[in-house]
Amino acid sequence: MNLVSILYKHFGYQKFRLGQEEIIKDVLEGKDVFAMLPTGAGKSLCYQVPAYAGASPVLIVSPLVSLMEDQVQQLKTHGEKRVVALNSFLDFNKRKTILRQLSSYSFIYASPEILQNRNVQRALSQIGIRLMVVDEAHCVSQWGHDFRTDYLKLGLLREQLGFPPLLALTATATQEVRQDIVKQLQMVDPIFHVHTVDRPNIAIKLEKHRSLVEKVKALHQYAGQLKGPGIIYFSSRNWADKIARELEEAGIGSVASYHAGLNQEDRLLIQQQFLSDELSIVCSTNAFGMGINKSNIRYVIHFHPPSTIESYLQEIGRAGRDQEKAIAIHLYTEEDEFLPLSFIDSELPDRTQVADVISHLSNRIGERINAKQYESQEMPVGLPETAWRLIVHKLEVHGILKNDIIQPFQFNNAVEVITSEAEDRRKEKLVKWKRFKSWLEDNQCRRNGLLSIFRETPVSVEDCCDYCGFSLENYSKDVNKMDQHRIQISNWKQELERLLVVKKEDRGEKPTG
Amino acid sequence: MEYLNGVVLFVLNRYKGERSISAVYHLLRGKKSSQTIQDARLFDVSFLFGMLKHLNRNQLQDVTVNLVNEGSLFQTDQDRYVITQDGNSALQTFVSTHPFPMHLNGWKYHHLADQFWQRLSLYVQSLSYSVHNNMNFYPVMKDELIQGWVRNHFPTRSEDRVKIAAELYQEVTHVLEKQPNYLATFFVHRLSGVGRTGLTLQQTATEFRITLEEATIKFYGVIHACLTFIQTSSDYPLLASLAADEHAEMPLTSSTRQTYELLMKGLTMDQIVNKRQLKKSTIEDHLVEIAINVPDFSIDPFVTRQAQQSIKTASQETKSQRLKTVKEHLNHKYPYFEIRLTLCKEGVQ
Repeated sequence: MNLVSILYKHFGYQKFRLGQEEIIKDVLEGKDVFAMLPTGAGKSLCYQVPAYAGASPVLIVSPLVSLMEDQVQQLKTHGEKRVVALNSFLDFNKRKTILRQLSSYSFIYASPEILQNRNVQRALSQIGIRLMVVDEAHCVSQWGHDFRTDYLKLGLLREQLGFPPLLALTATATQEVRQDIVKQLQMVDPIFHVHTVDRPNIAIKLEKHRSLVEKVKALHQYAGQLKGPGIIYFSSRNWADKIARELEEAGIGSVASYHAGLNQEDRLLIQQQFLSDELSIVCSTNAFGMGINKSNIRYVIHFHPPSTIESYLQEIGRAGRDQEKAIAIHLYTEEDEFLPLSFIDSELPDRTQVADVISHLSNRIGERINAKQYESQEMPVGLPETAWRLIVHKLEVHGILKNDIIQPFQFNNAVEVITSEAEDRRKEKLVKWKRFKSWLEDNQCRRNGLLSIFRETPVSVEDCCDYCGFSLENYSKDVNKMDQHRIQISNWKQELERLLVVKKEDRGEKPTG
Repeated sequence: MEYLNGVVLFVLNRYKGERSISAVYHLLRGKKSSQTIQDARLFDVSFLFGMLKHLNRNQLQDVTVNLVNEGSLFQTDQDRYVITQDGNSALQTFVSTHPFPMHLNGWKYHHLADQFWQRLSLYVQSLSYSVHNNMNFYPVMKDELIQGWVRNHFPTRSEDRVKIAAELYQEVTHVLEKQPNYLATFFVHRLSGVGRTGLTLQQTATEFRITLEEATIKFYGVIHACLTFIQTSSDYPLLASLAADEHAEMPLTSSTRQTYELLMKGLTMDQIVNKRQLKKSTIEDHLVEIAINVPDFSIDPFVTRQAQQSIKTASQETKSQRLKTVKEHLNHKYPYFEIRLTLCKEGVQ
């Protein structure tokens, strides 16, 4: 069957989008492929279509459980049953059952953490993986904006699986990150498919305010004026909740907040309301969006800054996936700088914290520790999980932790080395933040500023940015049209009837499925 | 009066100054300890057990400070309060303007209610989409067990789906018709289906201009009404099947479950202590948890019938559930463990 008919049969699309087909062909030829496609360009098809064309089973390494679940759900909605997600949320018995029948699956999604489990590795190596996909591959690189230590072990895993062809996917990676990914994943003569990070249909506006109060006022104005649906990003749950409440009270439409503090049921409901245009605005921490596949988002506003250019691009990239006009507005004040700085500080351990952990471990030489379970460690109070993970990773790198058992080590040296490595990470992160900050302050075309960071050639588009000039009216609400709204329930019985009761004559044809 | 203030005042009034503010906290959050469960029963507030699972200490602290400042409460001891005359009339007003839902019964239904709602919500959504010839939707419940249950109980033939959906409509309507109209409207806002996604509790609260706490209790009021009707009438076969707990997961913590399994195999307490390498007092705690949560669990092997009788009598004579009082009244004839086990078994019957 040719690729286009596979595409149509399984996904209902008539033709490939830019770049997809070339990538798929290289993957099917068994080459190692590095693909950088802008957010929303349909990255997942680049391995799903090959799987239907014979490169199956495929192992997909994905960093976020929510992202993974969403992909699984999407495949299932397209009628695929042989799909499974392996992550640490699976209970033990369920995992055992799945591993026993692993060969019956075509799409195996797995978190990098669970891939460190020996039983999982063994089961995977027995079923002849035909393609290994590393999604969000920038996580492999410590130069990337979202470094995950477990990703570094994927090279080794690939050997255990008999060295299947590898497809590395990412939306944003600078030149140095790309090289690092190729090296860490031990890719052999990889073919690069690097597409521009530019999203020509998204206008970019940077707007500096003198005070927080003014920034809030501007946010209210934009939320009232812009055509939705939109996402507003915040750095904290409290802010997301507060502004959502304010906007809804101001009558701006249906607004909800979304963050990791909500329970799963509420998160699903809000995602779904947003997807089906029952909400105009989601006020969110960066928890929202990963895995949200909504094509008609018209604007993204940053009320707080992301800590890197890459996160910024990823977040604004959620707008305008339907290729229609969309806008990204970044609101900032001088004080905003403290947020990323304190975040960077809190993420990484300082000398005292490193010394605390190391001295604790030095009393337990020869013991086994379960490094994955951060909560179960009796660790110094207030050590953030990210800091703990970094320390564990370094302990493994330096051979102090081998197969979860603490080896004899020299206290002072260990503290010294790990502290200075954490310090290096801090500096790298600072560099990334500074790069974002200098982009904010540069007096130039915003778009070409971004492109130059990725060493791309300058472009010129209509409705480009606040530097080049554009008209905000193009993004304003149509006052005569209600775009997103909920059904109002005035009579509960009628509503329940509408949901559940169909009369024979209304029912038309029988479903085919 | 703020709804939460009213609820706290209500419970403190029932506690008559004999229980601390912590007891209110544990009751509303549904702590499964023998003390909390005994209190709930003794002071007739078990219908509120676990009805505000997300209450936090600070919130409760603020409420108490508020109630003291407005003169409704009087602090008698560090952690104890009695209700004042003003408080009493404020409480009267609160109860008549915000009556608790008639069928609310936290202790009786706490282990069933959430599962019932999750199944109902997903079942309604799936039926709604399928009878409208559209199976392309994102399930509102992600829990594998809930999804599995709905899948296994979903009619395969499309005519059956239409029929079952209409029957479900009838059953839910019958329950809701027996509720105040606004409560029925409130509940339907939470259901999802074709053309509309359900609201979260917080969104529903905002829509009805009430607090999250009030919304939570009202919502459980409807769920508990369903569960009550199912038990007392055979007119709700579909709802009954949604409530059925075939894999009756007893609400035990995992360590207690292991102890329970060993008990079922016939091991004695000392054998379990040895086998599990745990302290005796830990195993005793497990037994108390089992006595509370497993209805047909007999405590006779651990406390003689005669001892049980004496302990119950002592508790009645002293009008007290306090272990210390009972133990002293019986001249320290029985250890704390036996008194605890007896009183909490008594408490849940």
